[in-house]
Amino acid sequence: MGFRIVILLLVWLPSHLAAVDSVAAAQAVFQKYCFDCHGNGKAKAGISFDEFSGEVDLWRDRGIWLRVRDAVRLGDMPPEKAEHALPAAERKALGDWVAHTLQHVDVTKIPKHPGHVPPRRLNRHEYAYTVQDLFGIEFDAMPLLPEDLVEGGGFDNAAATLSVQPLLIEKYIGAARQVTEAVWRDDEALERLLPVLPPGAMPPSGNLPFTATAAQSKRTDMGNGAFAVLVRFKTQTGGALFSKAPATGEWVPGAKTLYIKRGRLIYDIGWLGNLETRTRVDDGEWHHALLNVVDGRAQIHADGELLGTRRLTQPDKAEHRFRIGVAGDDDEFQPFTEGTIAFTRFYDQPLTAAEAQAASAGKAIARKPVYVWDPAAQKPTVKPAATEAEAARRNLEAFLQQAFRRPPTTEEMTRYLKLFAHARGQGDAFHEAFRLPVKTALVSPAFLFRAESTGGARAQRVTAFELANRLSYFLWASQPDAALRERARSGELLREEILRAEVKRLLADERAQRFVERFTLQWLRIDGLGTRIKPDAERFPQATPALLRAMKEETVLFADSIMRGNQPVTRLLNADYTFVNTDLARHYGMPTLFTGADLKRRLTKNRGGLLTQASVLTVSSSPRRTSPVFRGKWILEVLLGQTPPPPPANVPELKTEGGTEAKTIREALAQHRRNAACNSCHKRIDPLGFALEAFDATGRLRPGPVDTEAQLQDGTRFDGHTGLRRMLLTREQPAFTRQLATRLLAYALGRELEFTDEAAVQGLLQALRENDLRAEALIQAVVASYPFQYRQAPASETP
Amino acid sequence: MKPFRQFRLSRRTLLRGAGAALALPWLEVMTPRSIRAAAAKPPVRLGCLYLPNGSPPEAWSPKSTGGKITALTSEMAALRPFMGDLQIITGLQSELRGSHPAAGATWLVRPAPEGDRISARRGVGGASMDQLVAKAIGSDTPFTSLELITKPEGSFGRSILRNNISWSSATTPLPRETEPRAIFNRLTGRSPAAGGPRRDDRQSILDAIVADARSLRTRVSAADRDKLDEYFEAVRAVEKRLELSRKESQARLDQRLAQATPPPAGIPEDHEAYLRLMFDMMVLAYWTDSTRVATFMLDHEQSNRYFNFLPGVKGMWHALSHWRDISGRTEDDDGKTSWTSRDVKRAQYLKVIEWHHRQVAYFFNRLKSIREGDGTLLDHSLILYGSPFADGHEHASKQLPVMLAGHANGQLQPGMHRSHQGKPLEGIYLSVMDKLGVRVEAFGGTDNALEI
Repeated sequence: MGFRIVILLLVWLPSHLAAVDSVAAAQAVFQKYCFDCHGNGKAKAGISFDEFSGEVDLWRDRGIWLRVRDAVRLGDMPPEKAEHALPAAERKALGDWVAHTLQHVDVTKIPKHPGHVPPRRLNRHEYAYTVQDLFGIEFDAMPLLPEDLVEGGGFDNAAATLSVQPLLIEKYIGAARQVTEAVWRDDEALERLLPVLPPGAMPPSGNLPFTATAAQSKRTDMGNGAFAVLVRFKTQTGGALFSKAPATGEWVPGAKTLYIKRGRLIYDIGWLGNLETRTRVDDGEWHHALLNVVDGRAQIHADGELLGTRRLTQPDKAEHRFRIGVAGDDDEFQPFTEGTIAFTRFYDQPLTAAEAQAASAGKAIARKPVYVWDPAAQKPTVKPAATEAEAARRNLEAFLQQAFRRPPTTEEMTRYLKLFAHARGQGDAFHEAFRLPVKTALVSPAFLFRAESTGGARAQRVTAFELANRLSYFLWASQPDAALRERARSGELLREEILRAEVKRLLADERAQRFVERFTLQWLRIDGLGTRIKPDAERFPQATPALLRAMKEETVLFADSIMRGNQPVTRLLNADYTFVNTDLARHYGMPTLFTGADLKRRLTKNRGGLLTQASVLTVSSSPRRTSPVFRGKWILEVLLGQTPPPPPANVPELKTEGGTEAKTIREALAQHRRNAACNSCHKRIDPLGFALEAFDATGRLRPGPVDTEAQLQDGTRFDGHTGLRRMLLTREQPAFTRQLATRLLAYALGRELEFTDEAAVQGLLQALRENDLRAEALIQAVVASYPFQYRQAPASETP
Repeated sequence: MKPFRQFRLSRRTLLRGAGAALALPWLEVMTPRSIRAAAAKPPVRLGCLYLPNGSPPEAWSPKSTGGKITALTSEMAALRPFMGDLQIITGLQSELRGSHPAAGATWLVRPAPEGDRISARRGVGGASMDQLVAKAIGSDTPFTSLELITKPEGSFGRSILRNNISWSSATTPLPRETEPRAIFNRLTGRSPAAGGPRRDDRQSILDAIVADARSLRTRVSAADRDKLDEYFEAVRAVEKRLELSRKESQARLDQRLAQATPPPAGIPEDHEAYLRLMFDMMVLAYWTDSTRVATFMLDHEQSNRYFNFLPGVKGMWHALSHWRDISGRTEDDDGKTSWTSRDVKRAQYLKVIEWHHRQVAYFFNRLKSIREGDGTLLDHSLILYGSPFADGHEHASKQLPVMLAGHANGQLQPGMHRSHQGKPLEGIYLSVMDKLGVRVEAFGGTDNALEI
């Protein structure tokens, strides 16, 4: 108790009383007061001042020196039993000198090295995103791959810990098979992948029968009683023109088709009825047929005439696909095999009488279709090639350029062309034969690894392609898009203003949500919420999987609004809004004037910032109760970057005072802190947690008044989450911004930071200071930083 | 033939019934002889079972007379039927002190060279014992080794060091399987990698990617080659397996495996059913000689799995292991459920360990029920079961809990209680490797093989 008073007084004393203003002066103090345990070869608790010879040492071992600073300032060291008591004036002077030195880094004294990142395997998130962007398909490859583990509180994109093992190769082969299957099921994706065709080949979607993708089928709703479909065809036998039916070929109730039988057009809805017409259209000449459904009334027009009308409508089945040239395996109609369908146009509104007359007479109308199937019109986008070999080469070259994120080498081209030829030799059709090389590329190290070319012994700037990759994997967790590739190809990306503009563009793109999500979930350690970390279901029955999901989503959306909304980063701790859905609003005791599972931005009253979000409050609790210790440790480690040393191996039994057992957690922890071995850390940990005691283990406000007062060792008092927040944003603000900046840099680089990155960290902090702590300034500064733009072979010996 | 389906039904019966008289109709109806039964001498199988969070002496000490085990404590009751099949070794110690991550990662390696400062990037000191064995004897089987772990729960589930005991090198942990069906599919070649009904083009793919890796290798710096070499080795291992699976003997095995009904997909809700299915997969792997080396982390180190499904237990495993600390007093903020005393908390801790012993007994029983050559699979196995700490509260690294089950083809004298007071744990590893035919001069801090 006596100590605290002394220190409080000292704060107000002028600092010239004792002079610790140089390394030599500090050394002298250490020598006199600390060397019994921490010098002359002795290193109690792993700390020795023998080697301490300059400010650089403080910057290198920042973690240790923060502990030194606190131990000196708070009077923990030297311990009471030490031979020489450290006089108060010297204590203050030394503490201030350490604090000042840590705060003012002279970057010119830091050795310059951009650091080294070994070839980095895509983690499973990056793999899944890259595959989606590479092929433009909605396919979730995540479940096909094992989770990537992390070191300490690190990120799952850290190159050093992303290893490859046989099991993983097996999984990659399996994943490649499933990915290519998804691509080959999707004609649009396949056409994007293989735009160059040899003479005589049709794009896959030009062949009949054609089945639209699920997304296309959703756009072509034939069940709402208001749409139109126009077809141009010629035939001498008939068959199904188009349908909305199961992709498998079954004819089921509710399936719909317009077909030609005995030369006449018929519109049929399975098991409901049909509309038959009488005019023959099977004379081998070109005809236009229009199915126009107005208010549930189906009309069939052909060649400018209305042939028949009948009330005929039924809602679509969700799994049914829009198909052309086929309807199903019913005897009543055949697939459209002889003749030609030139195009099919789908309108999501019925045509007016005039439009219907014009369109079915083959005249142009102003109304735009929402979906068009027209192989002839697509021809211009499909590039012809003189020979099949040329088509194969151009397709593969374009694909490998994307998949390998750089132009393929001649050797690689030869190899992948051979794979194509091999498959072709086995009897695969032109499109089919690309499966093997594409599948192979997805298991190739050139795709799975982001390898950069040789880094020499001297630092060199990464190439424009490499910079594009670093940038897109930082902000999108995926490959560069066409625009970024073009900037890399032209070399413009290496120009500062172009690079800044690209950062802005990438951040604005919705793919940047992946960055916010991956970074936030891991930095805040809430990734496992709902899977590995769950509140006790009996004690907290309201914490359903849906609610836990919403908690996670809230934090991600919130972080997104700040990081991509270019707000001051301190708002992460202090905002007057958050994102909730009905479940979460109810959980928070907020008015629920809206309904739904989607999260919406709402103003908050009794909450604000990460510390009051249920995700954070839940992961820092036990399943059945809150833990001020866990919460305090979470704040220290996650928000302030100060990892308390692990508890001593042998914690002696706690003595209960006068036989009375503690009644509350607070009392129990107070007993616990009476043990000196525990106290030195827990006096810093526990108070932070106490301030959040108003929230239960799932982040709900507890009913009734709760004691949320807390006091730190140095006398600082605060109450509740507002008090805690204020303290963090004033006194601890430098620690918080530094922590955010270092974590972000580590995420962007894909490695943990080294001492040599300190200059870069200082650069980030400066950028923040000069830009009102705005998030975009931080992100721009990360991209502009030396380690992000340069590389070098690893130092042969780390200093 | 009435394969797995039958077995699964009876397994459930068995789960309901008393643990003692375990009948195993599954393998019996399938002619329960190992695939290699015809071979002159069955191979020895190595298994390493990892129990996290320590075990205090009463859950790990036998009563013995003249070195012979005569009784097991009530916490070990489930293992009583196997008293004649196992050795309990006491007195061993590790130089390692303290931390959970180091304890898990280096259990099969050596005392952590850097103590608490150990890191996956800097390495854990070397390849683990099981992997040294796998490298020596793994080339005869389709799978060099098999690594299993239960799906993690709690906040340490993503930590590399706490989730890996098998290291192929100091910095490379082996990925582990967590889902019984995935293991089954892998063993039976039904994995998605198997090509399905389409033409099997895996060899073409492997050839091409090996060539890709080679040319990539020439373009990166020396320091970067390690990662690509790792990739290389992995691809080669897959190639080797493909090659073996084409051999004739493998065809017979495939035929047999093809009759087996796969275990249910996903992770069973019932944790006991889950562990037993994982053990079944281990047995399946041994039985079919798909591999001779397997490790199974019954849970990851510092697991905070919530064991409220055990009657009388309310708490997370790691928290329970610190049984002396009842500072929270209550695990429940409504104050209704409380740890009234250290004894209560410690009893819950012991219950969790006892429960794991029961699952391990199930595994031993499985092995014992399969005939192979002139004995049983257990006769031809060497199963190491242990934990990196004694009392979990103290993180005590003296008096380590170690148990060896099986007879290693008559090379062990089971039924014994051995005391190797104050000797380093790795002394046992030297002997274990020796029984597998792998001669290693020194391991960890010792070159002194201890008698087993």
